[in-house]
Amino acid sequence: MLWNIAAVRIGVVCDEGAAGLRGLSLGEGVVFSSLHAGLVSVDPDQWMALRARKATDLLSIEPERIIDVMHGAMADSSSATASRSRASYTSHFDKAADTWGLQATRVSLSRFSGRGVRVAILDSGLDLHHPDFARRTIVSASFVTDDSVNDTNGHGTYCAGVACGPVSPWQGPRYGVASGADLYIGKIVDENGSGADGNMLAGIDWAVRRGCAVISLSVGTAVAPGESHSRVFEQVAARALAGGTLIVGAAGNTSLRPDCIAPVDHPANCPSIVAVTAVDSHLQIAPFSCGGVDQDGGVVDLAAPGVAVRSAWPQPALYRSSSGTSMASPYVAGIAALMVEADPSLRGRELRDRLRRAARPLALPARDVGAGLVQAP
Amino acid sequence: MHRIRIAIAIADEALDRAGNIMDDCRALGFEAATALTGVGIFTGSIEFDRVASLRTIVGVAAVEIERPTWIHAS
Repeated sequence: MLWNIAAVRIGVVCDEGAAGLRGLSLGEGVVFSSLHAGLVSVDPDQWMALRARKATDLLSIEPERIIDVMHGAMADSSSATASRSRASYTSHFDKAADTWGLQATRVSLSRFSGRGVRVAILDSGLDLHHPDFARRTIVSASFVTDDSVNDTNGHGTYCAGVACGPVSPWQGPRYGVASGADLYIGKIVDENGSGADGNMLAGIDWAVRRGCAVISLSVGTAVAPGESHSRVFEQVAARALAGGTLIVGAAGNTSLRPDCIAPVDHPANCPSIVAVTAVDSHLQIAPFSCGGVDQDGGVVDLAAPGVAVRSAWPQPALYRSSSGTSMASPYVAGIAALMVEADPSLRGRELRDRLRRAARPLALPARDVGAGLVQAP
Repeated sequence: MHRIRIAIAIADEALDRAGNIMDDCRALGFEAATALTGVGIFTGSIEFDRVASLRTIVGVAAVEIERPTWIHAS
């Protein structure tokens, strides 16, 4: 057993009611016969096995929530009420279960995996021999001259892990969102993490022509305050959107808050690209996160976990915890894949609009978090 | 003269004439590297002082000098 924690209480909804629940051979608990539901205690192995189980009679499995009386809306981040509510929320992140980011975005509670949805990660490639991707459908291509798609930097493997890592990793807690999605890995930066617009454009073109529903970009360039967004990339992103491909981009890490808030990086500052900033486990904006401070584009659309986020890393390390808007962008991409699985008609603009509508509002300026914290279906 | 790498965006209404537009770009000294048909973009290189001339071609929506990019590592 990898974890050393106490049993977890979970709620189970079963199609066959009490008989079905008893048939699962779980621990002690209570059955609500008329509701076809029950509350049982399971150990970590049972928890993982239940989540991996593909049973049509098991309709839902969720960790038991702690409930409190309503204190009021979190309208003021400086109020004692908001602080107390925030503390209550973050104290429920179980460090031994899924990563805090999966819990905060409700991925842990989602029954969707992104199955059948094509997600493109355009970055430094992928460690093709990483055990966590051994049984996945992966299509790959390199757009870096004389360089294979194998990841010799690490960043690409990390981002792919956040977006599409498995339910049951080789080691440690679950860290990935769309565990069932089809991965499209496009290498657009080299071992030093550097590339150029041309690599990125080629990668986007490749992903669009292959019918990817989502493209995650955690690469870019800082822009000067007041600098206009790229007309070339805006045209590309708008065409992709119209064709059913949503591009999600990291907002950038060049701020030094509170003294300096840098504008959203290129190309995430394009209006047709979903720009994602980073929050920490207290749902506060990360000090490095760029913001929507410019008039011409550069609007922040969503926030996602981006501080102390665990994900995959090339061998021999296998895993790493890191911080940055690079970590936040693939969260949104993975959750977009879950939404597409839930409703295949959601593509392009409709998908973007759904992501925004489903976000959890935060007691932070829209300049910093857009519509709020991305949430899974 | 110094050659620089650029990206050329074809206007929506001119996508069906992309081949002709490429010929016009080449006539001005553009050396094409890729024709990204999925998104209507040409990438390649040209003498620095000829960049502005590309913008005069009917059907060209935008011409930009290529930027370097990096992973967003904090």
